[in-house]
Amino acid sequence: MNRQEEQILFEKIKTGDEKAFEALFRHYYPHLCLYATRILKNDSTAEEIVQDLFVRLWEKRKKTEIETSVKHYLFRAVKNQCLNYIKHNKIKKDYSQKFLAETESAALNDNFETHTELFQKMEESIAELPEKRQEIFRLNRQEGLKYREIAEKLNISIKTVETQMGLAMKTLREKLRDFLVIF
Amino acid sequence: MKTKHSIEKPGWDLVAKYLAHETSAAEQEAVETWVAQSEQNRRELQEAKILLEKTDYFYKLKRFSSKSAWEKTQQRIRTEVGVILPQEKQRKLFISTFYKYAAILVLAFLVGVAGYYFGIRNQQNGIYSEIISAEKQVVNQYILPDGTVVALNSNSKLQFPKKFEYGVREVTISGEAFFDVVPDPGKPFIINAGNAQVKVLGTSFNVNAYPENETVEVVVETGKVQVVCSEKLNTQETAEILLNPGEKGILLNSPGKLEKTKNTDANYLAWKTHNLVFENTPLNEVVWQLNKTYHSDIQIKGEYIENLVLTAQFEKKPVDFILNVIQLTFGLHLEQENDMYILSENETLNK
Repeated sequence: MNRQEEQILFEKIKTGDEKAFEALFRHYYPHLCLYATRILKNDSTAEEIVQDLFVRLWEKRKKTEIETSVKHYLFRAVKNQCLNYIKHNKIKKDYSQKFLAETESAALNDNFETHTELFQKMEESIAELPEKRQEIFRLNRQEGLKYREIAEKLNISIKTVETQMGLAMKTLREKLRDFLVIF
Repeated sequence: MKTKHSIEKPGWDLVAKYLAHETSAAEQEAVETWVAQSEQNRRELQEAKILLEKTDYFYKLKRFSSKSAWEKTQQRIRTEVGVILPQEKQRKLFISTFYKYAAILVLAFLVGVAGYYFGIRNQQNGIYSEIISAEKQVVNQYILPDGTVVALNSNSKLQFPKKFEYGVREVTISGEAFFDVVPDPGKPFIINAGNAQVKVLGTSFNVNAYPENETVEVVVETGKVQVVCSEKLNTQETAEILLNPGEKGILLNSPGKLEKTKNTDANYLAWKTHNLVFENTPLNEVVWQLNKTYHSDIQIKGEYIENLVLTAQFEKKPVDFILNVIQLTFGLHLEQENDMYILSENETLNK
């Protein structure tokens, strides 16, 4: 979704178009949740915060003016909600002020908004990997299985797991290098 | 042959292995020696590390299901809009069903309606709402912010936050209510009722906690419910019980004592459903149940009548229909004075 498409969508939302609202929701929901977990380290609270945000946005849709982009607005709102949550809730005692400051600056510096594009490209790149390689990579990264466990599960040698993991990384690195900016 | 200063770049398999913390000590050293060799090498490894971090985020993203989250959110945005209207409708329905005979009561009730739905401020968490049902008023359906459906018997009060805070859904009831709780494992539903705390994850059940009763009764319709005594007891007493469908938990307020029994009252939900079952029930008990269910004033005259037993089922029938059935079944005399019904022996027949 580019900026202009979002703008049009948001105009529709303002008139009470629930379908448009659903489209916006579905597009951003996982990304906003993931972003919230970066700050909160808790999946279900993250989901609640994002859902609350959308409910409020719907209630106040007529009065809401978006100056920047819809995407930026959503990410900023999630960030503010998460920081508010940390400040006002019980976890406060677990978080030192220093940590809060660090989290805040990390949330600001990490340009999470560009991740929507990165993840789209990643989805394609992973889907293009040979099936077996995809599976091995997923078992390691998503399910956190050890090489040995993957080898046992798929009835292959550990050496094969090593090679396949290396090849998967090599390919992904080539396809995604534009997004991997280091500073 | 390798020279001292140029260690070969490790292959991708070794880099991946290193970043997955799978390397042996020797392999680890090889990678770290290579990294230490130049700024360029350090960057390359860093880049690989970032790539893996991003793929991890990518997989995490898949944990959040837009579909189910949307269904929840959609229900919420629709409830926010719709909640007042159905309530109005229900109240009117109620008026037409129960108050068509009593103009004065209708007026009194309407005065009640004006103050029926109000919020009070709570210093800590913002705004709470209350629904209060009047003397002879039943609120058949009220939807809480999470979608949980509540029915409130007469003379009852339910207090709840306008928005449930994170991690828990907590309400306070005085009187009698039926709850159909929307399942949400991450967010238990807690009802404070007198000295009892009722905890659920998603189920339906009835709570009877009229302050004048000295007991709190919980009857489970579906699912599982935990009842906890929230007052400190002497340690010998049970502090919590788990109830299954068909079971009833009773908390005696003083001394705080929790008991579990089978629910034997088939009509425990009649106040809400208007479904009544009588099985060899003495007429005086039938009348007691009818008065409780319909907020009616029915009286019986004569010992002979009190001891008649009735076996019958009524589904959503008005009280005068039921009285007519009783009258015809037993050949009784039924008269009505204002709001009062009187059942008596049919003297003309007996003479």
